[in-house]
Amino acid sequence: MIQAAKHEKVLVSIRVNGKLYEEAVEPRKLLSDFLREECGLTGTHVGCEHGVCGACTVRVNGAAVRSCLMFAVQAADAEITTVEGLAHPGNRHPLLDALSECHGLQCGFCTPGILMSAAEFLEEHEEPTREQIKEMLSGHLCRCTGYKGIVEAIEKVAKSKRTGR
Amino acid sequence: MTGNGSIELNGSIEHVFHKLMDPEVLTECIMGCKSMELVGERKYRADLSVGIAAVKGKYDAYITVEDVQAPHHFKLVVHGEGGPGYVDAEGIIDLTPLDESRTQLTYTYQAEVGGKVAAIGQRMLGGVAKLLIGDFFKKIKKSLERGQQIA
Amino acid sequence: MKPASFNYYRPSTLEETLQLLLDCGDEGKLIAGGQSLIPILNMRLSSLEHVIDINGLQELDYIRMEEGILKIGGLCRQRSLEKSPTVKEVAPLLSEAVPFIGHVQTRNRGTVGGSLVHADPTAEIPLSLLALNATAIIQSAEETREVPVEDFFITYLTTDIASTEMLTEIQIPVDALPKGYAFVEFSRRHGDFALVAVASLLDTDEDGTITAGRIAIGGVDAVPMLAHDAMDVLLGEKLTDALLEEAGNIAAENTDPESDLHASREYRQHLAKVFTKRAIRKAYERSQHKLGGGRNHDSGSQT
Repeated sequence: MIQAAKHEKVLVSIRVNGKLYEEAVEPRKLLSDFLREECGLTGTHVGCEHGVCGACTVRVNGAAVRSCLMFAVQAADAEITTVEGLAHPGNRHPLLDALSECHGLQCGFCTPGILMSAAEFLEEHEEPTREQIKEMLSGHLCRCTGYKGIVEAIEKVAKSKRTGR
Repeated sequence: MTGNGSIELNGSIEHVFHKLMDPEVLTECIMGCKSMELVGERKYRADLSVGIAAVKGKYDAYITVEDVQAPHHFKLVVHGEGGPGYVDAEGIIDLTPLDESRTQLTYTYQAEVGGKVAAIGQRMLGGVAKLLIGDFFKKIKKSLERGQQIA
Repeated sequence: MKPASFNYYRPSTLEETLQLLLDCGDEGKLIAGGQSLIPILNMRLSSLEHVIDINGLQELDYIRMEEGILKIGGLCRQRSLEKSPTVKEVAPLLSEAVPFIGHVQTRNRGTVGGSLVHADPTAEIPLSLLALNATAIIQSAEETREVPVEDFFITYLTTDIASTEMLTEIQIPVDALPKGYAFVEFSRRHGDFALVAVASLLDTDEDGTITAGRIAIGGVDAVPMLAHDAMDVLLGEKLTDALLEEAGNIAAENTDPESDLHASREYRQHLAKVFTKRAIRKAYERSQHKLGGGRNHDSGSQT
């Protein structure tokens, strides 16, 4: 059993974007803060800290989750992908360019969270309908774009995956 | 939010009124009340730990008894501040004798809740307020019944 | 904001967990999916002394059919329920309800047991399980007991579970249940807490007569409620517009909602009527369709 008294730290070992991070943190340390502070991966944004905005979304063992609603210690031994992991040189996720081409971002604050949800979504849906895309996006608040460009970018990537164009 | 209610209590109107004015009885019956100290003319300070399920918070509260028309009417004014937010509430209590040993208590209240607890818990505030206030009067009723059994 | 500090435990077995619960008493709280608890902690609306993390108890994450009963482990993720072909086949009411719960991202972590014990008056899982006549299996270090979901809810966020106890399984008697089903909900935005939600099960015979059913309404009281009186007028009758209207009215009259920032009491009662009618009609049509009749009741009007 893992246990820690108040203010006591535990050693947390998490693989993020393929790299292992081992840091001692209190159990109450949120995964979002761990990624930003201990791992230096500030691509994951912190918006509301109570699970409604979606800006902090990352993938934990493939599943898109709100990292502000997880303690880092709960992600131990998991494989995390953050937005930085979508942009490895030579292995760039097509959503990144599609989003830019379709004007699917302005301030970019909500964007990392949306990219992570969309990455999971595209793996599960080969031919998504507009309704399905909107449903997936419902967990993300964007104040700039009106979502239109985001939906188009996702449709574009889904189509090019299918047709190879 | 506003609300009202009515409850039948054991005891003559004078007895019930006297009980409601007693700070020891109030401490016992107000949910989560650790202590009440007199800080002025009919003004008390209390430490309240109030909430529902895991969502309990500590409030530093001032309770004033106003508009006293013994033995059938008074007003309770409560102002509480704490981590989760603040509460401003006013309750008007009216007593009517039913007979020598039973009294009808009717209350109306209005309350304003602000801060985090109001922002997050809006949809449950009215119901929880009703619950907590109802709980207070149920405890008053029990306290009076116990008193009767001993007497 | 960030949570206040707490003592943290991550047990690896159910026995360890139950012992911890006993030792921590009133000051212990379980964390499963955390989708309701962590926001409360982050906002510091609660500070906990002992947090017991049960995400390591993989043995409680399951969905299985056993002798006509669907058994769902307390730690089963809502997303698993959503994707499960077994659930779609034997308890399609649940499959219809789960997509209304929050968003995909919260369903990836949120658990079925956690939602039931949290007992939000508008939540989809407590409401569905009430309609499905489910039973909760509650365990402590000292005993195991079974509580019908019908008797489980006490008030806002409060259920018949002691601080030393844990919900380990939910059982749904699927073979014994009416086969027509419907889950409907109204919220301002998709994924919001429901203003009003209705879960309904109905059985009909080949004549179109309603023979059995359950109607559960959420968002209209401190706990999800069963609309007994509305159901009573339906039994033994064929569904007509007039009967539907009567059932809707009775259901709404028996609700006792509060007015709040999101909806007034009157509006919630109106929604209760409208959505009870929609749920009954949908469940009726599905029940008839299963019998191969595909018969609709005599009306085409939208309500």
